[in-house]
Amino acid sequence: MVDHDNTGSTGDDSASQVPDSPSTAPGAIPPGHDDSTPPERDGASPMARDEPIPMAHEPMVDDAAARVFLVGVTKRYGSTTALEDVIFTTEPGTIHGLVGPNGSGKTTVLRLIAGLANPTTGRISRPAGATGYSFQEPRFFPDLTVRENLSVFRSLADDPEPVSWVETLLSALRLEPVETRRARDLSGGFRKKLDLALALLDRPQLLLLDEPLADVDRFSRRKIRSFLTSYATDDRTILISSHNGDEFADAYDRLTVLVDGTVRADGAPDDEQVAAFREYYS
Amino acid sequence: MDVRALLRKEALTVRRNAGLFVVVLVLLPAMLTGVTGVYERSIPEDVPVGVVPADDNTSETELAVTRTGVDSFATPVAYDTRAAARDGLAREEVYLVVAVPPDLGTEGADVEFTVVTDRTMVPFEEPANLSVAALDRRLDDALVSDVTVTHDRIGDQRVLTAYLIPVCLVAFVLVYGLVFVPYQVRSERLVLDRLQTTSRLETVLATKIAFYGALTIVPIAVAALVASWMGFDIATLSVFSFVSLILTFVLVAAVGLTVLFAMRLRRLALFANVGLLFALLSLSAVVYPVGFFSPTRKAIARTLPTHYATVTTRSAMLRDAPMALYADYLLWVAGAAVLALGGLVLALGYYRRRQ
Repeated sequence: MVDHDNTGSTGDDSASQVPDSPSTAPGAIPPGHDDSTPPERDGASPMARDEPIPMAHEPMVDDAAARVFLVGVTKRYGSTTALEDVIFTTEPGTIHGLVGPNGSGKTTVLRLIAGLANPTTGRISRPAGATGYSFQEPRFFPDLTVRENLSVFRSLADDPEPVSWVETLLSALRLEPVETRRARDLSGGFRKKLDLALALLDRPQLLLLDEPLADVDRFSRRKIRSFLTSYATDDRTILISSHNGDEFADAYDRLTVLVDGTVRADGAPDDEQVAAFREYYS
Repeated sequence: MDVRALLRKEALTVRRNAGLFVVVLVLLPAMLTGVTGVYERSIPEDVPVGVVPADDNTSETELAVTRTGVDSFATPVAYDTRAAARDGLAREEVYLVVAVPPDLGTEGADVEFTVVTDRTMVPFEEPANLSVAALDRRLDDALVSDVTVTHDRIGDQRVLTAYLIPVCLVAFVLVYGLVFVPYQVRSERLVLDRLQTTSRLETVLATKIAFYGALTIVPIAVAALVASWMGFDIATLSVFSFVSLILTFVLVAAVGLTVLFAMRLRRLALFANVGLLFALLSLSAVVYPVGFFSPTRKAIARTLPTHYATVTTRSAMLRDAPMALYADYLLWVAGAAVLALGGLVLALGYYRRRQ
């Protein structure tokens, strides 16, 4: 399990312990966490802040290492607070939606989980296995072709997947027609698909997708959705950030609604409190 | 009106990129005009000149008298032996060596001073001739003996073009390491996020420095070909010149990348590196020998590793001197490169913390 810990000025190690006992449910506030809640903002959610966040189901002990935990995570950039006391947990074998309007802090959450940024306070834990990240703004070597990008990033892995997996990705994401084209010359949709392919290259246990279907054509969307749904099995988790939640509306197993940097609801899509934010995901 | 609206847009751009415009419009011109101060005189007045006994019979008093004579137009530097003084000439510690004969105080005695200069220092050829003439005149006036001064030029005859080849290679490496490599890294700044999910930034940059450092062989080889085509017999492809230029590259690439990451990959960092390039080119005495400059500028140049990199590269290509003679120079360049790499690691830590 990979931990990012920043307990801020409290210096209280106990507050940063990630629970891995069977008594701790996903979404529940873990032991040792200060459960004081931030003040309600404008446009407050219907979810009372002093209520425990709804639980999806009791986790298996063996699942603990495969889950992502965010415990009391706050992220500030100077005087701007991007996230405030964010708490949620993902379950292996599920597609977890992180939904909310623009600027609600979804990308910040993904960057923190990926270890690309550090929380100001709080603790983050993710599976020790490979983490794939498809960025909101695609990230690849612009001067290399699609295939060269895949080849270079594949060889960066300690234990690269077989070449046949690259072929599978090229086919599943419909990248074959542009595989010899320079990445900088790709259209927006193909850029996004290349970024998604790069995120999947290590067959990661945790897949972080930031607006994965932006600019992608309708046919490809169906194909990608189907591919991702079949990918999220066993110990694999897909965390999808989207301000246009209907892209995966039928695929989500669980949703976390983020508004103005705070978690307003967390639970199954049909959960009453989550459903109150349906506008963000259906 | 369209023009007014467009001008307003440009004004807003300046306001939003104030740092960049301060560097481009204020600091760079200030630096460029400041550089002209380097060439404050056409004939050097504080040239370091080695003073050495011609043989064992030369007394300390005779050396002191000569130093006093030299002091009126140069800065005397004492050496114990002729060999040490010639090494000092090859290491560009001094630009002339005066060998002091005995019997200076014997009225009517014929005494012959020998002034040694290095033909490698082509820009110093004329000033050296003037200095020899000045020395002849002053010593003749000051001493009761009958003074003659012999000018001994050592090293191969060079033309200015040949002298400029190592200078150009050093200048190229400064541009390449300080500006081009940071530019390349910045152009891939978006992909750094992805790379960080699989590799360490330190590894990514170490690979970059190693790769582009190895590519330095190409311009060196090109320079060798051009020099050969022009008919110059210079050791461009020697191990010594490779060591000197690649160490210089590692040093300046590490400095350039440190600036880039300390400024969080902002475009302004590239301009800051361009400013640094101008400063190093002028203050390191890359083109003109450091003997041309005032004592202050000389002192500044002699603290900069890029000055020593210039001397070692020039010596490697133009002088038939062993690399061991410049071991301390190369160590200083290597040490500075290690320090710069340490600075880069710190800058990366800062960059990550600010993400």
